[in-house]
Amino acid sequence: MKIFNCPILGPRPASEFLCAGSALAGMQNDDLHDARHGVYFGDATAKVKREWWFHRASQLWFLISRDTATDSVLEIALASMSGAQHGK
Amino acid sequence: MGNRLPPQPGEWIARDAPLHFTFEGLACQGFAGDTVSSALLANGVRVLGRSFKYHRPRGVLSAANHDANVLLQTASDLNIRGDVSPVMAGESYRAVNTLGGVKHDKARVIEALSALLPVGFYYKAFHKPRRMFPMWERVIRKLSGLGRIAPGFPETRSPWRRLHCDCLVIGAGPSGLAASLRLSAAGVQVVLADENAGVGGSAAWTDGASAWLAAAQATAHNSPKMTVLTGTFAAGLYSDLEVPLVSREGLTIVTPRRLLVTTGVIEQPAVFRNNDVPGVMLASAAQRLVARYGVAPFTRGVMLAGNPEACEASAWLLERGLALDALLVLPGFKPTPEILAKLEARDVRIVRDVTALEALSQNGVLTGVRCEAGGCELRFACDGLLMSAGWAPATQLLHQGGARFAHEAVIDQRIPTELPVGLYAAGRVNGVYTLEARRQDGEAAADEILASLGYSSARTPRPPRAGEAHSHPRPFFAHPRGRNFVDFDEDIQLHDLEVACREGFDNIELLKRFTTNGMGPSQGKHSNLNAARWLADYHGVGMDAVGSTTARPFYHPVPMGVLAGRRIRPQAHGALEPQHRAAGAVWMEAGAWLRPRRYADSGPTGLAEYRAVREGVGVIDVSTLGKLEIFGRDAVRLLELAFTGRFASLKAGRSRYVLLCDHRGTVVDDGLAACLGEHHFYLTAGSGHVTATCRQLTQIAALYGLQVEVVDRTRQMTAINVAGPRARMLLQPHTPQGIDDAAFPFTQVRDTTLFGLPARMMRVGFVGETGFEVHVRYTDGPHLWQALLEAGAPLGLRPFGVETQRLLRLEKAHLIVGHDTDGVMHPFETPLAGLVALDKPQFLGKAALDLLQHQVNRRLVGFETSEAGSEALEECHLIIREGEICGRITSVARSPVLGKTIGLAVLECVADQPLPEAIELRNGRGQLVRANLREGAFYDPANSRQQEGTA
Repeated sequence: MKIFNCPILGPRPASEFLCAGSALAGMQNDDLHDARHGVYFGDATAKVKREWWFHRASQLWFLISRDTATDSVLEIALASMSGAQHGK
Repeated sequence: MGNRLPPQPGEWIARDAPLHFTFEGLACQGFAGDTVSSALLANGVRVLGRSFKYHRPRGVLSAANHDANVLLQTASDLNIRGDVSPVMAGESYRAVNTLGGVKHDKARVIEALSALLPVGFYYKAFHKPRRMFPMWERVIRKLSGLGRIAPGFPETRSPWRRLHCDCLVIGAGPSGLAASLRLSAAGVQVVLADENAGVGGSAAWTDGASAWLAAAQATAHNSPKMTVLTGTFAAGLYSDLEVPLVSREGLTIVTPRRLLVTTGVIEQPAVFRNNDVPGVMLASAAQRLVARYGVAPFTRGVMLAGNPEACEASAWLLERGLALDALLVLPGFKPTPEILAKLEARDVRIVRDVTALEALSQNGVLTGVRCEAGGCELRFACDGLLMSAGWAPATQLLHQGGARFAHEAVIDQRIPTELPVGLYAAGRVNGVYTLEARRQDGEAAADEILASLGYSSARTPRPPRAGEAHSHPRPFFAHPRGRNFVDFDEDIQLHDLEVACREGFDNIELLKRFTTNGMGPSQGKHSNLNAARWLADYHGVGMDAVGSTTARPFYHPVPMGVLAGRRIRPQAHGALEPQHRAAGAVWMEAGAWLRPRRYADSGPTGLAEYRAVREGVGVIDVSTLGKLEIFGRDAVRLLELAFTGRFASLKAGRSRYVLLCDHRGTVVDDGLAACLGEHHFYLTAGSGHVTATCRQLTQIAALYGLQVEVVDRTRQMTAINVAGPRARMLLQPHTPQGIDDAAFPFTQVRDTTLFGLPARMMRVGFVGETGFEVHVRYTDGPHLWQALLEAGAPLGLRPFGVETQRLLRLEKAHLIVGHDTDGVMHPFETPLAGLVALDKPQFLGKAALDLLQHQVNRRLVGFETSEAGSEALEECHLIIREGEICGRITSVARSPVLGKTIGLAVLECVADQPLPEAIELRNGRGQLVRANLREGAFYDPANSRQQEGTA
């Protein structure tokens, strides 16, 4: 299993976290030409992704950058401290 | 016990502990420490199983956990591997996959039909005529599969454990031992795992005289920094070096910082006619049987020699007193003159450049070998034919870890050329063969690991790889009558590979799938290399061009019970569980909770409960409701961003129905938001969804940097709904403030006391009568429940269960999210469309909902009917229009008060077209039942009963 070397929690197995989707779109989804599109045609391209991840035991939100081509985690940051605000 | 040798040095059996068992009715004797196979051989039993497809007799092949044809069944277990499983005293074994026993297996007739069953036949046969397929299916199902599961097997469950260490070493042969000792001496926490019962690997007998090895074996068990796990195999390699180890005790998931693979090599068979007859075995199998179990695998033997190990094994067997008559040397292999002289001195006849090899058998066991050499035909009588033709490196774990390989021509072996970070290989899997070189390779790997962990910077060079081939490049002997097996699990012959290639399946992956070569229980450990070698020859290309298949984890079969673990299913206990139990609750599961479906004394349909609520007063435990408390300056902003409705106008002391959609616009939860102050809200959410709703709220708070705290109080609070025309009469005497319509109207909320307990009271209307939802501390729950029952008794109060609640709400046409809605249903398809404030600038799902408001292709509608057949309607029965399906029922019940069947259904429709007045529903008997559509509540559509006096 993947181990996330978290700056706050230390090394934790990925199973303790939940992925909550892309962090780039925020709450909007610009690509909603068909609202159901995302259900069946999610972006599965291998590339660097920035995503929301939730740690269940600590109830903390993280923004994680990972490269799905190499299966490596590039950056883990606590969401509330990392300028996550999209408040437009 | 005629086949036992005198005691052998380091043998695993305890000759002072004899034991008795039976094999297919035959009484046998073995020793503690024997495997089933070794004990049977000691008793002169040679046919230990039948092959999968042709039911040919089979015996020992490897004695190393790869004998997929020797699978046994007992009264309590199946597919026991005879070659490695310890024989149990008093046990009765029989072979799997026979019709009438291993000796007289009636299914052997299949072999006579083999010409009709060419490779891949099942892809082509059985399809036509189509009506015959069910018959073929029955036949195939009967013949395929191995052991038989008996429902009476004892349940065996084992825990999953987790283990962390600095370095995990897989394989306790010389290189693994050397590495582990060096690592632990440097202070590194090492786990050394080996599938065998002891450490040392095959070197324990091939290099038994080595003082270093003897010392290393002894030290391994006395090293404080080192854990030795024997009888444990590594089943796979996952991301970040995670390795599941499987043993009798269960699964241990190890996450080491570094992983060293010293898995060695697996001996490979030669392919010649009748190479599967009991008595033909790998040379290493014979050595294993002699060294570990003191069993003589044969009385007169012949060695087939394709590599240097053949000569060493011959000398070794002769030293142990076994009789070898001949050494048959494969074309191209040149043994050293010294070893040949040594063997000839022991009366072993050397035959060079052997061709046209075939094994001879009688009554299913080996009686001799026939071959040609130098133009002459030769025959040897023997009951043991040993194959020493080559080795396949056990690279499965390295492959799974992402290592790259190249075929090294000198050694004739695939060698790892590139290893991912943290993964190391040493020993024979790395192409290093002599004992001294394997030790050096292990120690050099240990030094690399120590340096990477920051323990030292010492670097020892790796020893050079072997300078000669240890495998024969083409150990194949074609024969016009075949029976030269490449894969023993699946009975794949040389001819089958040719047929597959002729049909166009001439790539290693296609070849595997078309022939099923390598797809049996041993997962190609004996067949993949030979198939690849044969294919390279067929195409006239090198081994690298052919490539190899990847063994996926778990690459060795693992019992299902081990995978299942202990199946931990946490159960949440509500505060009122004992009260419900005492009241005769009939339980239902609701997520992790148990809820009373109904109470036993209310009749089979719970009608008494229903009547209590509609005519008197009822109480229901709704503690499973999600309960969130929200504090902070931005509490209103959070609600506005999360939910579809508006909250800025919500006054303190009032509540509002809320709807939550996800970013795709799907309805995912609903509940009530009660305003308790400018910066303080109390939110109830769906029982099953509260964790996700809470997570969603905190995510939005993080995204927008809101000053707000969300506290999940679901399990801290007990909630009871008191409903019915007499609810107010029941509660008023026990709470200080007035609760009449003027003082406490519908949707009002108040922190107060009830029966002297601190309580939060909300006026609600889910079941359609005057209703109060009371939330108290978990520990106060039983007191409140008891007080309500006592005070309500004179009023005819009854507790009611979920079933009654569902009926009551259905009469009000209230939908349940997740029950009446599905994974893609949006609010505009439901009667909740009015709750979506699309003119808000931003909220979760708004972008999707902006589009979805124009895409209404189905609607959640209410229907009612009293036609014949309506009583048989159930959830998920279909709506039929002109013979086509156009929807389904999501909720349906018989309404006692209305005297007809009512329900909710999802109906396909055309946007902006009016709905039909009636639909046709098909019940379980196939009857079409006409039902009228109806908008709004079925019962009390004006809502006068639940909210008289709404302000």
